[in-house]
Amino acid sequence: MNQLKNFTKGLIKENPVLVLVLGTCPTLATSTSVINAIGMGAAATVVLLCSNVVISALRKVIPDKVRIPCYIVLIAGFVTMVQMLVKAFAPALDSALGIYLPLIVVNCIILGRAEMFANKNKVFDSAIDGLGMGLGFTLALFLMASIRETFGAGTFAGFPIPVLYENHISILTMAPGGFFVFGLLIACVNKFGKHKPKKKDFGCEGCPSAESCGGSCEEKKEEAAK
Amino acid sequence: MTKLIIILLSAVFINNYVLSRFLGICPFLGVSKKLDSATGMSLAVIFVMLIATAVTYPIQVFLLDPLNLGYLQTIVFILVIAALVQLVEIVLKRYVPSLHKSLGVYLPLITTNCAVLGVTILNVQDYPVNEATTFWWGFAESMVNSLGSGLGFFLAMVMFSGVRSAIEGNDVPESFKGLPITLTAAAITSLSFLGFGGIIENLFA
Amino acid sequence: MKDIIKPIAVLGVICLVVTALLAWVNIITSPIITAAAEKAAAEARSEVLSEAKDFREITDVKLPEGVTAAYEGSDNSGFVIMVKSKGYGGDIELICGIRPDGSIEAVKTLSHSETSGIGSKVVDNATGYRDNYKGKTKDDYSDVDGVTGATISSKAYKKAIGTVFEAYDILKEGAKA
Repeated sequence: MNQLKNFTKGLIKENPVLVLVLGTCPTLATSTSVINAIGMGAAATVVLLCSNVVISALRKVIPDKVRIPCYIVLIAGFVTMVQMLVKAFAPALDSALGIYLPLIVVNCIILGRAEMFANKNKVFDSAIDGLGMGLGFTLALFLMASIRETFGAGTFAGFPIPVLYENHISILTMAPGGFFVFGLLIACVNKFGKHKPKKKDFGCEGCPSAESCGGSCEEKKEEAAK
Repeated sequence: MTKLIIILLSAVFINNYVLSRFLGICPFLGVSKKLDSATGMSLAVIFVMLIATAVTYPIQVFLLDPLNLGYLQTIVFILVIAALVQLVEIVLKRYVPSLHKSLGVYLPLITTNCAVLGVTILNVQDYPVNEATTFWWGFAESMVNSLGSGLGFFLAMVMFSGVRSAIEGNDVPESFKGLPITLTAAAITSLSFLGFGGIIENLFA
Repeated sequence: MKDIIKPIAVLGVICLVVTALLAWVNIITSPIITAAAEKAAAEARSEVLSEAKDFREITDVKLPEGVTAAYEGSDNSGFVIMVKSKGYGGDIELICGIRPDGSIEAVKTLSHSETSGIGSKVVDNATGYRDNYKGKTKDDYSDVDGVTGATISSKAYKKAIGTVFEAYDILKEGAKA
């Protein structure tokens, strides 16, 4: 039961993209088409699952002082492996994702989960958490890409949709459309989600480097002042 | 020379890292609330982009390429950038305390900034050394591209902090408060950059 | 002392293990990657120059700026030329096959970053723009009308075709000599 809760929290309640607002760069960049979104989501999920499992298994071995460099090396290793496999077996996906594939390394979700969950929990729980979070990421990407591709290009996963194909709104697949659709989705989550809209803006608590920056973020100071 | 100017202007306006390539969105949304922090952050990004390129480009050309270790690129680059940022922070703290005071707080945030890793990877991809180009020419192109990308980041940050200060205090629908309205504003800001597409090529044609 | 050595040792061991794993994966995947890339390139070449059975890459001739590669088809079946040109959103890469009589057999876009729905009409052949170049020669390729609303992408494409013909002239001279 606990495990199930652990798994589903990543999908909806703590959705990494729509609620925790992590990993915004790949979300905006690769959600132009459904196929790209699923590819990106799958690649990130694999990396997240592997890194969570390994970091959790090594949590007693890795000294606290060098834990961030260790995590980065492990994550970068998994990302490179995924990159090589994608290049070998899905070259079309590789050229579609381009630079965003190696940039999974700096995706805040992965380092964030390592820091917030995997280094405190058992291997199995961490695996479940990684899978849940990865699927949550994929789900959010899929949702955004569906909106952008359906209305922006008039196609779904490459197949033309009648009427919409002739009357597509190109701007949605371009950069401004990405920001706009993302804004709308978060507004919807705020409106229909059970929790209250976050008063605080894009803040420090979701940022994995918050600890190393010593809370010097402008926002954090303001929060403390209140 | 014209080619370098084209690279610079394209990096600032057309392929703007934040507004059209979606790199470095986190600091763009997080630190753009006030003009002074937006300026500080962007100056630190320009600085780190330049030194990161200056170090990673030779590493790729003289170390990874000849040894066929291209697959270690991501891991080497991220470690080099992380170490470099730490080193710069220590050096600044010791020798240029005034600069450290204004930029120092932003430096650790940059380690996991995808714009910096992105620029170093794109540089070795887009401006490789081959039969047609020497190392120094590729290096010059890369450095100019990094400078342009950094300046583009700076421009986007400063513009956006202006836009945000205009939103502040407005009556926004409840569910749009916070991030959604910021993203909507970002959409409009990035719309303005679409107008630059295709201009640079014809400027020198 | 132990506090200093242990972190360094652990980090070092992790680095070594990860690097070793990567080397192993690389050994497995790199032949597949090269084979896939070569297969894709060979397919693109035969698609634009169907007569040729075999291709020979031409490396000893100085070609105009923008040309990324050139191939000569076997049995005088023509040339295949790959060109890069700056479009609206970035580089457009295309491959073009020219028959011995100097007319285009076909053009194919290899990669592009044009705006989807506007510039992509040009490069993806959605309006048949690319097919309009079929059979054109050096003298009449500029008659092809651009796609409405995508002037810059159309111009970039036409410019690339111009480069193809420039390269073709040079290659033809070389083949004669």
